[in-house]
Amino acid sequence: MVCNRMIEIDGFIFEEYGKPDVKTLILGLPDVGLVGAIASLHIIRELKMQDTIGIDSPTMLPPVSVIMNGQPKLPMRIYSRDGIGVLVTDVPILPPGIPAFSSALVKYARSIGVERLISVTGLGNPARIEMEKPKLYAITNNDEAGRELLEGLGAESVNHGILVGPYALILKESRRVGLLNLVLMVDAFIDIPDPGAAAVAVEALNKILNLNVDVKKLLEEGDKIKLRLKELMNETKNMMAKMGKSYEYRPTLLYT
Amino acid sequence: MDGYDEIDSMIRYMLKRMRELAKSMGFSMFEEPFYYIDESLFEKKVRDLHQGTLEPYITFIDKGDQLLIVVDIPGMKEGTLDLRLYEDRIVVDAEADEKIVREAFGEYVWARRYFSSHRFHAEYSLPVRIDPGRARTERRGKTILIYAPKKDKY
Repeated sequence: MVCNRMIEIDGFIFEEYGKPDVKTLILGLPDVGLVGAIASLHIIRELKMQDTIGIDSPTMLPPVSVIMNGQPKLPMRIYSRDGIGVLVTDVPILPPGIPAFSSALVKYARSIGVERLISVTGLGNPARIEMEKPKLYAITNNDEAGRELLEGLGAESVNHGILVGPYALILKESRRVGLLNLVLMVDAFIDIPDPGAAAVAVEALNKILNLNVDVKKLLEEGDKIKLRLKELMNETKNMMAKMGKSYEYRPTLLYT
Repeated sequence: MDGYDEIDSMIRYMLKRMRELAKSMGFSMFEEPFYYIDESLFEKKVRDLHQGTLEPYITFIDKGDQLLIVVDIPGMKEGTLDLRLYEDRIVVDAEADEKIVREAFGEYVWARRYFSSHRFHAEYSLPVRIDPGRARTERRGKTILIYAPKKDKY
């Protein structure tokens, strides 16, 4: 795969393997229940997306090269098709790299003409085990445009709370530069990969983006996915602890 | 404490001393991003690979006077679960469905040991002492819920 253009922003390298055509970028970073990562891998596989952008950092990501079908790839990649991109990573971002990554991603997204970012994550809920179908929640940094996207989804707005990690900084950074960011959250197990929660996220993305991705296979392959993602879940749990994820599970200072 | 625990403990002690030394010399290893990679995850993985065993997921939920232990064993073969609950720990053994294990790890050389043993094994310390005799168990697919009354009242 030949790199057509390479850009360095805030210590992160973006390699393009063709002209990027991404208007909506779905973010599937490893987080609570690996909901975003699982939803993203399913969409990439079902829509047979191609990796068109690679992302790396010599200091803020572990020193890895990912080998796929005999080809070396960068650890973080954006797969795309028909104007929709999906960002995934094989290794969690190290906590000191989160501010630079969030800033670099928003700057890069704007530079290639991305119009909206959709962050997908889990909302750790100890009652998840008792739920047949986990609930969907949403946060947006643009009331009007965000509400339009959320229409008919049945998502509950998160009115109070604290968000921690890359999604928190991407939300703030994109608001600052006027880029629409929608955060979709689904009730999930905190430290067990949750394909059931990921399926709810995929169904929401289907409605927002008319993707038409079937979630049956995702649910059927739940065991295989959980076996494969055991180490990523352990690494993510370790990073979540070190980035102060516990702040998410306490009330805000002010209340109404 | 087995040999691996001893090595793990020695590595942790050496890292602690190195950090103290670095601090006394005016710089901090905590500023180094790679410090955030937990070296104990590697130690644990090496141990699992040598034993050829898969590890189930386990999480603990505090339910007041009960401890809810959630054990998730993806790819477990039906009828093979052996779960032993003690006051202060839980031991989980089960056979894994070889087909699912091969589908999950088929292309990886380091995972070949799993194909011959294809079993789960793990032992965990419990966060509080429980009464195993009064524990109640529920199954939801490959997830086992154990509601265990706490032994110590706080």
